[in-house]
Amino acid sequence: MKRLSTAKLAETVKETREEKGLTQEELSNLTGINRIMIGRIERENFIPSITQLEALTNVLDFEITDMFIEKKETNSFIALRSEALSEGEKEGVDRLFEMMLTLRQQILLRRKFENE
Amino acid sequence: MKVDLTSSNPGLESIFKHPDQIITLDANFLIPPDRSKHAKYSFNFPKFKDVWLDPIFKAFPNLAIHEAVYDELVLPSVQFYIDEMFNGTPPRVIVHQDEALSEEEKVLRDSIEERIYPLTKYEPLLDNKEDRGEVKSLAYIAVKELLYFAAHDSNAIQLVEKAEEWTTGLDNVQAIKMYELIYYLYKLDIGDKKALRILYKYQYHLTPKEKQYNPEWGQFISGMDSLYSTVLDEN
Repeated sequence: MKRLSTAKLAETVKETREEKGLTQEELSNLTGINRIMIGRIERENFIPSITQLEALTNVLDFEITDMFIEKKETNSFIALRSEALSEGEKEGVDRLFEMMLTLRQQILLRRKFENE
Repeated sequence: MKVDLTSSNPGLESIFKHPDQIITLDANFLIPPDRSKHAKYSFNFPKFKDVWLDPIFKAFPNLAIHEAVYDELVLPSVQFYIDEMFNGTPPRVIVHQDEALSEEEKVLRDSIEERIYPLTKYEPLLDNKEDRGEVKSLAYIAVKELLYFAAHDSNAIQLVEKAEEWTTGLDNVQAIKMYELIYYLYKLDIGDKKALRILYKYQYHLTPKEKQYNPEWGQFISGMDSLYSTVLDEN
């Protein structure tokens, strides 16, 4: 599965912008992307839209697809599900997943709130 | 769900000016709410259709749902209603389909989904139904640069409103809450005002806790009037 690498994008935008002697403000004027968003892209803190990516590639001369990386998926859920044989076991596994996902959500949300 | 009367929503202001923009709905905007644990009455589908669905489809010509939300509509009456809207001439609802995304858009969609799903009960590897509709809708909206996601789910709304702090990738999306559209319908005299008041009460002012933090109907309308006076005057 391919993903946009915000790290690679941040590095590319910053490096090529500096190579071309552009400030964030100038890049903002050339691409129509808000300067604050340019800053956030360079800090890996913003996922630009396709239109914004295209504007960046046009000005800074790079390919969108070069910003994509292959990501390996871990299949622990599927492995656990395939262990279940009977309908009762399947129901149990699904209930277990539901509890795990709720717990994961709650832990991550709590962390987000604590960091605010 | 809390009602916020402290600041106006630029999204709602924009919708007042241009109601023909695409507004993508979460499933809970289409499914009759069931709060029978707290209330003596409930909204069956015909009642919900009269009070809510017909007025919003009358008010907004470009309502949309994601195909994953369509799959969540297990009530045959709701599915039938949406089918009728979709098959109308011209179609009265847009159905966002992931197949319509280009290869690059799909990568971006997956990247945004990856940011969102851990904060929900959805897991892409399982492709389970829980929160699937909201994750798929939000990622699609963000990729297609559509602006509005209308939801009655505090978690979905937070994913949009806290996009920057939580780095959800939804920075360009704006959340529209049910009470904001209730107010819109009320002000533009679309639908039955008394029924809209009942719907507001049912959704936001029902439990003792809600009565503590949410305004009652009269306060709600006057509070919203103050927030949106400028845009209303312009209209």
